[in-house]
Amino acid sequence: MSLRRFVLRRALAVIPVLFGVSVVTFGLFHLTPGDPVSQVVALNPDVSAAEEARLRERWGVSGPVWRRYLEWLSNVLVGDFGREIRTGRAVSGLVWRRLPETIALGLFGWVFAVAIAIPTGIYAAVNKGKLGDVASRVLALSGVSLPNFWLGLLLILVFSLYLGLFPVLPPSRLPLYHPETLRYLLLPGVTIGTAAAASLMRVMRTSMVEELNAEYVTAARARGLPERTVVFKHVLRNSLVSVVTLAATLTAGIVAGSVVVESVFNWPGLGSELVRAINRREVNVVMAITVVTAVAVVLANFLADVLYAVLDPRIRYD
Amino acid sequence: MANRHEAADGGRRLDRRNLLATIGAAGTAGFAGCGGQGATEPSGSAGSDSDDDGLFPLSVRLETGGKDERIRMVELIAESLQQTGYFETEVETYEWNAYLDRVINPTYRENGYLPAIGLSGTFNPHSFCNVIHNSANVGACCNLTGISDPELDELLDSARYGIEVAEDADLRAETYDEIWRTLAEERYTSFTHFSVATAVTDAAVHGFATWPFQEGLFGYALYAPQDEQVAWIDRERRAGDADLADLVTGGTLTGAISTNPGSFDPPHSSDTTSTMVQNLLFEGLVVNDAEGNVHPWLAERYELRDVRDVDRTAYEEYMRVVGTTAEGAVDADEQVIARHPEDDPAADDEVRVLLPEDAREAAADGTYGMWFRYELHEGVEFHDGSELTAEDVVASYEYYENSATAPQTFDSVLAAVAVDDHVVDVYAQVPDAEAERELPGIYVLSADQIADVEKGGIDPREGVTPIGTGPYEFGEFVDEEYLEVSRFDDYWVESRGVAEAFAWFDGPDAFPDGPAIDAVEVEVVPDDATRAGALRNGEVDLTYDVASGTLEDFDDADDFVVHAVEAGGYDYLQYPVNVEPWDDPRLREAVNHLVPRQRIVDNVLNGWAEPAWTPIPRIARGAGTADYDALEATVKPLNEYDVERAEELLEEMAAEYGESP
Amino acid sequence: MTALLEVEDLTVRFHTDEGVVTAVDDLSYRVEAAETFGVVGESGAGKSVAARSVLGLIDRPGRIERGEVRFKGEDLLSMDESALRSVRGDEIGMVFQDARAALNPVYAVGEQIAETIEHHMGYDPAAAKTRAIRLLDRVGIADPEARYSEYPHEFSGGMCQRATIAMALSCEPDLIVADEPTTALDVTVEARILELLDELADEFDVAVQLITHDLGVIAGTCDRAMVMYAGEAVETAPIEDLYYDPKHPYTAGLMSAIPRIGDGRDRLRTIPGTTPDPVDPPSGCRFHPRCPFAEEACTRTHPSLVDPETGEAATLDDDRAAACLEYTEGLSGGLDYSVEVEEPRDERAGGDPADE
Repeated sequence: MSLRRFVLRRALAVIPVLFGVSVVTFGLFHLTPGDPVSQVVALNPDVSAAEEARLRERWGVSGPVWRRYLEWLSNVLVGDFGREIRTGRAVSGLVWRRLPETIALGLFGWVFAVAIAIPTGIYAAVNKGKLGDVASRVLALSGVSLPNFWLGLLLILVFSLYLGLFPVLPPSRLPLYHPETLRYLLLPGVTIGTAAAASLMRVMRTSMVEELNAEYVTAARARGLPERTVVFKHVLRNSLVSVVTLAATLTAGIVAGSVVVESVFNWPGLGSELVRAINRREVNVVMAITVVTAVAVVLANFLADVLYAVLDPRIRYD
Repeated sequence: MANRHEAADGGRRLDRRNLLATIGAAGTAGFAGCGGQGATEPSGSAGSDSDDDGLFPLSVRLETGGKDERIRMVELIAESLQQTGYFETEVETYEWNAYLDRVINPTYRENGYLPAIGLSGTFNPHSFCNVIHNSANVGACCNLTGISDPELDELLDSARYGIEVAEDADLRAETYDEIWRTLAEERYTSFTHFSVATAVTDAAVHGFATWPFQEGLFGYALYAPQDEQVAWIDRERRAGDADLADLVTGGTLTGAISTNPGSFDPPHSSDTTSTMVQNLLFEGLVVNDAEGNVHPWLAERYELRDVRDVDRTAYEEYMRVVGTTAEGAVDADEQVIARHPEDDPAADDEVRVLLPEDAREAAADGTYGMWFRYELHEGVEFHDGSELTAEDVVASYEYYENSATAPQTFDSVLAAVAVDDHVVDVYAQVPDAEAERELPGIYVLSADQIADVEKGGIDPREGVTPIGTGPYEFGEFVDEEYLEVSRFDDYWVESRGVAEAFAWFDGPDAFPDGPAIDAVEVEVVPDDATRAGALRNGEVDLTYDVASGTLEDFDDADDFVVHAVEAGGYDYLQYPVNVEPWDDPRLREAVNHLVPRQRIVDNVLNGWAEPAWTPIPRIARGAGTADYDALEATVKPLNEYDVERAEELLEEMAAEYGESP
Repeated sequence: MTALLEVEDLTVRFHTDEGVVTAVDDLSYRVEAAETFGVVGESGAGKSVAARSVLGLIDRPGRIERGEVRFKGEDLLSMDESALRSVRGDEIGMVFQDARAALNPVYAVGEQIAETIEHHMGYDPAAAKTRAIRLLDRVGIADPEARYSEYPHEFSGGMCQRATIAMALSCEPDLIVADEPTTALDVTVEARILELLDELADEFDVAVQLITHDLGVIAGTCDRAMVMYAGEAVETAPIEDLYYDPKHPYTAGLMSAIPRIGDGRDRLRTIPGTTPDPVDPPSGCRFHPRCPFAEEACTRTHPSLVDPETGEAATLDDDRAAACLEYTEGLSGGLDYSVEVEEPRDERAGGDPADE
């Protein structure tokens, strides 16, 4: 199968997944006992039946579930996530404003994770059992075990408050593409990327060690290829296959981590918005963020699949 | 007047003058409750207890939300109760907005829980008693447990309304003394402590001072000639240097606020943060100084022209009959200015109400409680260049109709009428001792802007730039992120000169004619630690809502100045008087004696508060008591920590309840 | 005159957790230019380690402790890495047991051949590709141009081996070390591959060191062979001598282990017992626990490789050598075995001089 056909097939496979995501999201919020309106009404005897009906209409909780779902879905498909209950403002505006912030943070976290994990993993694998390998393993273990909120606070304390190297507040006035933004992204990005970096590094090392023992490595050396070519061309690409698999899984972790990290760093992304929305019971906002993040995770997995296939031609046959 | 009509909107009303002194923005239309809680759980009341003692140990559920300090306070109280062995306590905490939704609800009173909440009082002594005890405020802010004591209601009304107290300040003060004594006897509520308003600035800020109310944080500090208050930025001088002779103009002040401003539309917002930023943009007819004295502001002068001894029945002939809803609310689209006191929308199918137009007619006919006349300055410019006229003032009053802040506006205002371009008459419904402060308590908005927007629409998020007459004009706002305002070049006080503008001004010549700082940037930083960190890291010059422990650190540091002023914020614990056995005053008395006020202040708040030995803080003592020392002597013993007395009472109850289950 | 490859006193040890394993012990042999030299022995005999040592491809925990590997008179083991790399793949090619594993799964087969050509011969990519395609064609891969950009998983096992042979030959080496090149293949394919190897060795005038556990393979292709047991050479002989007149009881035992189709006896007759524990090999002659002719002396005295005729220590130049006490001290019972030659029924042995 050609790569193009593979990608196409995978892309089509994403559709039912997204459909499932929409059903689950909608279901979780609408089939749990007590819709938002009945919660208001139950505790407020001053709401008349007519008003209740109006409220239901307004918040899209009237009619049979399937119809409400279809209405909701058709709105979501055109990017309309309804309105905030508290302010009556469109949720989509909020989501689109916050999304780039989270993407920037997530990407930075990723770049950091990959930039740390791949070279360290290679170094550790090539120097297996030596001091550097042991040290990197200890670091990786700490990286995986550190809770990200703790790490975030620690970084703020050390790098912002004691050393004064980084700002505490996010760059509210800078556009995201401004180079200066990087300075602001660094601490939260590092925080969000550390756990991923640690897991990636461990997988990178393990898979690299395994690949280094493979016969094709001996064969490549037997062909007189320089060690650099052997490691960086032959071994690396094979090792990356398992790293990419893990990376897709870690995307969900990064998305989940953004909730905590954004709150710690006051980062104006979807994660901190989600916390606010949950506190305020902004059902539409919570649903919108759930859908958007789910789509992001699905997309990340799709990209991983594609990358996987690019890296390893054997996959395309599956 | 009652809040029934508003309740029918499904919204809750928070008295602007009793703003909730905490991190949260009070919602006006949030989801209530906490799915399923309350309704099905056994209440904290006894009776279900089948022990031999009958009543004890009594399960007590204390609830609170918001600041950590408040939560620790409630835990301390719970611990204190628990230690006596008479109580099984449980503390439930909620996120602030969820908590508000939960407690400001008419059914909350039936739960039998003990809610603790923090409010912000005003110069008006009424704000320390009426809001939380008057039966009119059940299901609204903030009579949480449904206290309904007709005698107390009457007493509360008489302290404020009526020609006697309106004309006789001493009588008013004595009436309040009676209120404080009654409250101390009845113990519907345990006041725990009064807050101090604090703010921390870095070395760049000079001349800063805090207003006793958080919503005045920026506006007051930046320019308040009534107290000769002006702050400026000077990054060269030592922190704390504040000699007017060294005043430097220009610069940008960056402040960190804890909550996103909910709205820029003054009558349609009720949270502290919204008011805080609105203060930079809008002005009122009058202004208060830090002692609560009233000075004319946009009004060049004002006078009380007449007081008439009327009550609300006087408007009977102007009233219309309107229906009520099945749920007992008044069915009217227009703002109900007043309702006939004899009619009860809950019981009657029809009620007589006074609507705005009829109220104006009544005022024109000479039916009113008080008549104030405000003469506006000429040549006051709005940010859009138009000139302030009486029409703007009248339109502003009308804009407050059916708004989030309508209840506390139209509990006293009868009508506002333009006499000519620069003269406005404002009428009060009944003789009101607070009228001088409360009647003009609106922000003056632009009539043109009001005409252009839907109610609540003055907000950059709705694409509308707020226009006021204030010293700063709106620059930029990104929701949940930041607000920028810059000095309004044609600020009327500046154009005129402060001494020229205000006849009452007797400050030094060096006092500037307008604010010294060019621009204010306000960052929204919800996390307290981050906000303190941003200040420490030099990213902001000013913040507030700093945890008391951190406040100590800043206080010790040379580069920072902690500003503190005794404020009107107060925390209280309210008893579910409608649920047995809390209807027994002895139980409330006992629990009140178990509230460790001094320990709360010392241990929880690190001394940054005052124990509430009486229900009135210093700021309200001017109008609120004839002799504070005498009052304290009577009331303090009733509020002191006294385990022995508490146990005596509890034992007495135990014996009684044990006999007759 | 020096041979193309002279291995002398090669000792390779593996330092494992269980102990030190002497995988190759004091091994000496030579490979002449253009000849096919067989190395035979059971698995674990150290054949592959010996083969890889030639190219210095011993990885930790293995280490070449001693010895020389002289290629064209130069000791590869004392060369620096880069000099050694210029020999690898260029002058000495290697063919592996599992050809598919020896090919990198994520690069096209042709690319990997071209990569070697570019690296050693300095060809530009296009020329390297052309040459790689020609080689693929030469090793019998149909439609080589299309196959060039296919991946190892798209090749059959035999095709993979053909490809690695092409790769080994790509820079026209003088020696190919083929480490069990047909073990993983089925019988028919094995025969074709061996044939191809034989043919190409002639055509390219290249020497082959063919490592196998299968005497039948040796018989069909080699000029001379060495039998290894437990890391040591036990017998070296020209191929005919090895078959008709094995001098070591182990060789004789191996002979009977060659499967012969139509043989009335057990299809696979193996030598009783197992190869010795590499960490703690038996004293004396390492084969003695399995040797039907072993005597008391065999448990004590370690036999060295000698000329079976003279009993003198064998040199590199000796074509015939065996390591049995019979040829030095003499065994009281002697070596009581004989070789019978049966009718050539085994097709794999077709054309095999030993079977004629």
